[in-house]
Amino acid sequence: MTSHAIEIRGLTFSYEALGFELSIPHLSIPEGKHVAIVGPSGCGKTTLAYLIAGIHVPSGGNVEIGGRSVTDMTDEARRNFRISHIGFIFQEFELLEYLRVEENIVLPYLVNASLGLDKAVYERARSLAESVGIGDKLHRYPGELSQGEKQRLAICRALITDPRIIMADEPTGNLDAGNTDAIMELIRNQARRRDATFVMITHEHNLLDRFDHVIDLAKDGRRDTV
Amino acid sequence: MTRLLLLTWRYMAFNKIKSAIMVVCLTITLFLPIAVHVMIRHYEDDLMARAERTPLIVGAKGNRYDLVLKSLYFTSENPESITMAEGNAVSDSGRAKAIPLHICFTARQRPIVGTSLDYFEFRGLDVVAGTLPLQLGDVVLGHDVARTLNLGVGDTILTDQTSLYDIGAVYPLKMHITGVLAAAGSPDDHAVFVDIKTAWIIEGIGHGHIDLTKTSDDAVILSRKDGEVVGNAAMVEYTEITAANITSFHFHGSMDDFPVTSVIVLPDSAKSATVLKGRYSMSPTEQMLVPLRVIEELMGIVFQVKRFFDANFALICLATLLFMSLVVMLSLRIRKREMETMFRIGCSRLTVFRLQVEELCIVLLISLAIAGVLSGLLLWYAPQLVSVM
Repeated sequence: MTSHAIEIRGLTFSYEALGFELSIPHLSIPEGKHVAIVGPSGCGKTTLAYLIAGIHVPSGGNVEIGGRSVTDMTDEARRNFRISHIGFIFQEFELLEYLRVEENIVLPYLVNASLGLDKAVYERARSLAESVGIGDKLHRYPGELSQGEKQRLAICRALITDPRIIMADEPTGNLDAGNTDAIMELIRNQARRRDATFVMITHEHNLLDRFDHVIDLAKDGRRDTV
Repeated sequence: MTRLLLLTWRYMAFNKIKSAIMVVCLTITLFLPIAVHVMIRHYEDDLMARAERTPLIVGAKGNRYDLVLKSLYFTSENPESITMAEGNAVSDSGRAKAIPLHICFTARQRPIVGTSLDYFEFRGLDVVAGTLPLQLGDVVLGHDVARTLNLGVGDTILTDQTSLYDIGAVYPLKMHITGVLAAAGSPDDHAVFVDIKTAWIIEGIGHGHIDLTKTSDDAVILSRKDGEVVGNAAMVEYTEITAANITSFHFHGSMDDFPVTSVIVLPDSAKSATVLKGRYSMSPTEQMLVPLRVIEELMGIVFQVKRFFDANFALICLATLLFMSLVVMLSLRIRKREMETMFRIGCSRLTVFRLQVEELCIVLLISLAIAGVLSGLLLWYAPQLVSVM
């Protein structure tokens, strides 16, 4: 029997002020699969990603990650669970400009005391940076990096905790075609190497053939089961 | 270094200018009231100490503050002068010692204090080089005057011209420096001392010139009659007192009538002081003052002004507080996205808040440390600073 990395049941969420409502009766993503979530702007792709990651809490229903209900956790438990199980890559990179590359990579360890920070973490950060091609820029600031390098740095930060799930919210949205390809392959390879589940939100349909499954929120994604 | 402290420190180091502005603002806010308090306290101590050591002063009726400030600190406007007879009257009373002071002129912008040798003993002033002014034309420099003008024993110093456009005015007198006083940490360090007779010569009451009864130069003679010789305007008065011409210096009139700024009175007992004060209380032209009372009165005004300063500082503190709040609010707005990223990664809202608090605490600690060091330095150098002021 296939075990599910992510399982959603009867999920509802709304932004009352915006009149927005998201409803996912059932959605499950098996472990190790690469899944794309697509849909037009405003259909709730990012919201769904945030619900899965436990950044948002649903108003109804349940989100399970690796068999554990994220919805039922306390705020602190949810944060600690997220930081150690889910690596998030943002569209705008969201790097801290005042930290060097190396410190940006270990940021999850700097902001959450539940993760033990030791030399091994810095060693892993250096190794990750090497593997994505920014090993020689560890002491630079994000402002001194190109767009592609910034996204590689953001990927390193998402992977530093060795998460079981890698989530990416339009990670190639700010990149040119060459960089898009490279970054896509980089994330997929890293996910494959870790046997991690990869969930990516995108509106770039030319990338979809690289995924095991595609959930189209606009069409029938709200009831979809992979 | 803890993780959050590292983050805070990195943020502050990256935003150096913002951090520096916050530190400077807080440091000034913390240090200024301390500095004003320390300086006023030292200034008060300095003023009071000198006033306490000066029991009584006799001078012309008029502004009490001018008289005391001039007599003790050689500052302020020249008060009306009195005659030397007043000093002599005090001495002749047998109840006190009188030290005349003539403080009307300057030499290279430093006050010239014409007095007697008793003044040096009374103020406990010793020379570190040379001797006290023993004869006409001798001058002794206060320690700071000698240091700042780079003058010493054997050098000369000219009195300043009182009126540049009065061709009839007395010429500046070239005086010989015979001594330099040891540092006293008082206004004496900033003054130039001469014998009171030299002061009168500077004023033009005494002068020296060629002996008209012996000169063969008729161009300087206005008239000769019955052995009495009158010189004319062509006769040149000496502008320097030397060993060769010192005997030609003389005064016209009685010394009792010569002016002095004031007379320091050193009564031999409290009773004598009371008697002397009683005498002068009825004088229509002179007054006898207790400098301590006058300075206390003056400090009362200073402290009243300080209250305004205190109110001003309270407003500055409030303004700084508001400024800091504004900086923090703007900083929070600018950093909102960064804080949101931290939260999305897995940082608690409380931790995000702690980052802000830590930043403020570090700024406050640095400001406190700098203000502390500055206050320490100020305490150390306050006596010198007050004496310079």
